[in-house]
Amino acid sequence: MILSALGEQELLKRLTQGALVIRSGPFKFRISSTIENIAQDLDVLYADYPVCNPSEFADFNLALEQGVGVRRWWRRQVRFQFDGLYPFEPLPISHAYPQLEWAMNWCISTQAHFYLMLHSAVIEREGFAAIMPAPPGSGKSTLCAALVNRGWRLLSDELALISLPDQLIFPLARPVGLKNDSIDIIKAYAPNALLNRVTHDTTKGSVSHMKASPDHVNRMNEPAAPRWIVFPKYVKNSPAELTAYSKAHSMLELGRNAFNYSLLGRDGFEILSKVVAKSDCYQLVYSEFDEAVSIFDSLALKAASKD
Amino acid sequence: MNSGTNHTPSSTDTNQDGGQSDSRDSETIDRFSRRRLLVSSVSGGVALLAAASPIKALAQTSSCNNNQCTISGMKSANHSFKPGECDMPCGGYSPGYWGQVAHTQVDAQGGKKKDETEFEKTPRRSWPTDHRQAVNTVLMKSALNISLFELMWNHKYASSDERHWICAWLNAQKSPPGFNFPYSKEEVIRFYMGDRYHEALSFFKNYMETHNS
Amino acid sequence: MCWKRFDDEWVVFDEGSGGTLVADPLTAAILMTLELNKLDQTDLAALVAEDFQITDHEQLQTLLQERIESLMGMGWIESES
Repeated sequence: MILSALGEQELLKRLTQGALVIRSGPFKFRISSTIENIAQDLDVLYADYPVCNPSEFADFNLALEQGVGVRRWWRRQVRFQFDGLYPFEPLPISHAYPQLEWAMNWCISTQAHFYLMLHSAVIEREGFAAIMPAPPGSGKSTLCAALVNRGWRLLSDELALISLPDQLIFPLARPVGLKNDSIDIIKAYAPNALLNRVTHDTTKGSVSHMKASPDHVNRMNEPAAPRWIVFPKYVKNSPAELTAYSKAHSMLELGRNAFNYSLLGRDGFEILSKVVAKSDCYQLVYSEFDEAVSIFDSLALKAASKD
Repeated sequence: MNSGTNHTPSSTDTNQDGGQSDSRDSETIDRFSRRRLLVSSVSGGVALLAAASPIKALAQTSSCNNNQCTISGMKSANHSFKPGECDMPCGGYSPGYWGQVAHTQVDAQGGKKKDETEFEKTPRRSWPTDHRQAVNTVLMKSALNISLFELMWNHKYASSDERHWICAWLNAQKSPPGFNFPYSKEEVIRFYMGDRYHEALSFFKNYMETHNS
Repeated sequence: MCWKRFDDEWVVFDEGSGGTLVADPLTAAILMTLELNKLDQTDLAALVAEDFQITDHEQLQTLLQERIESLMGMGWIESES
């Protein structure tokens, strides 16, 4: 069953009772909250995602709770609770939905050490994955949003989950986070894309999330093999240029952008080296989406004609 | 640099499986092969020296501003044990890491002594502070008058809160390569002394003791 | 240490510290030579010079010195005095 089949009443009921279990890629999240915004945004952004039986085991149990004491009514707050702990300070209640998305990322990146996890966007074409590692604010989510609206499948805009035994990359296919100018840019580039309400005044500025296409959500069980590692860099007014990048240095950069490379020790080294060995590595400078898309398309075409 | 000083790689190969001599032989063969491959792949001394460039390595220490850590999106969530943003994940060494013993003491015959009562143990790992300081000079509420290092290696103290507090205090001064510890040593002590003792301790124990090596 | 070669470059991982570095040929030569034997700098320089047919010993010594200091600073090699 998918979330949209629940209906508004049932969704709200499950959410308030801690009985809403949503699957995203290999993970099940049990989400609990009495905050209405969350129900509304889940209804928009997760309409196509599988919901599980309330009694099913969930990998992560999260609660977005209303503030305590006066904060329940005055300058209302939201608090994220995980396994009885409150890892973060409360936020204004208007930030509840972005908080949920960030909390889900946090759960995975701090717990799922049976994957090698990279801080990167990942997209797929013809079974091959392009990994785009980059620090926050580099524009990778915006580029990812553009590419998935031009024929590339979304695996993730934030977390590459690399399987330890075979280095396949598993999708999360979660909504793509956009902020500030990127919101209007993507609305203009992909007028049919569905974005939820914008939350203003976060420490990242204004944020919104773009719904993943139903086709991408339906394929969330399909992994992809790493094929390209592309380090993107937005440079205003710059023509798009793809240059080959050293594999050795790519490996070091990937390690820098990994959540658990050091934690995995030698296994992390071995797996990362296999990913790099299988991939062509590039740096991409761009300013126009269409040019960047064209470059990615030509990579896919070249790979398809070889194989 | 003293040219008479011998250099060795810091990491020591350990092989605790059966068939040690066979696997050590094959490892030596691998090392020779690898070196031959390197020599054959470089076209002469000029090329070797010309290609010399600054060493690029994964960061050994945290370089984030204000000891902050997060992943994308977490910047707006103020961590109750600190807010912030940087592009490195958080973590720290485990008490076991800090408690590794060097066993460098020798007996009269020159053999290595492992008798814990006879020789002063020293850390195998590099400590960011004097390991001989007494616990109760760092953790003022503690009655333990033993050295910081003994707190970390002696199993008698395995379940003590102090072990985890000192582990956090040390991690604040030296974190694993590529990871950031989110609090300064002063902040760790403030938590220890303050009314968030249990919350902070639980956080450090459950989330920040991530690296054994 | 664990090594991976990509074309003419080497990436090496030190299990003890968890550190990873990209080794240019000289760094690789130093680490690989020391993996086989404990050596002082003079002997190390002699071996490297012989293997790679280096005639400019002065430049080699200078680069070796810098490189050894960097590697020691990063905890990749240590001195036994």
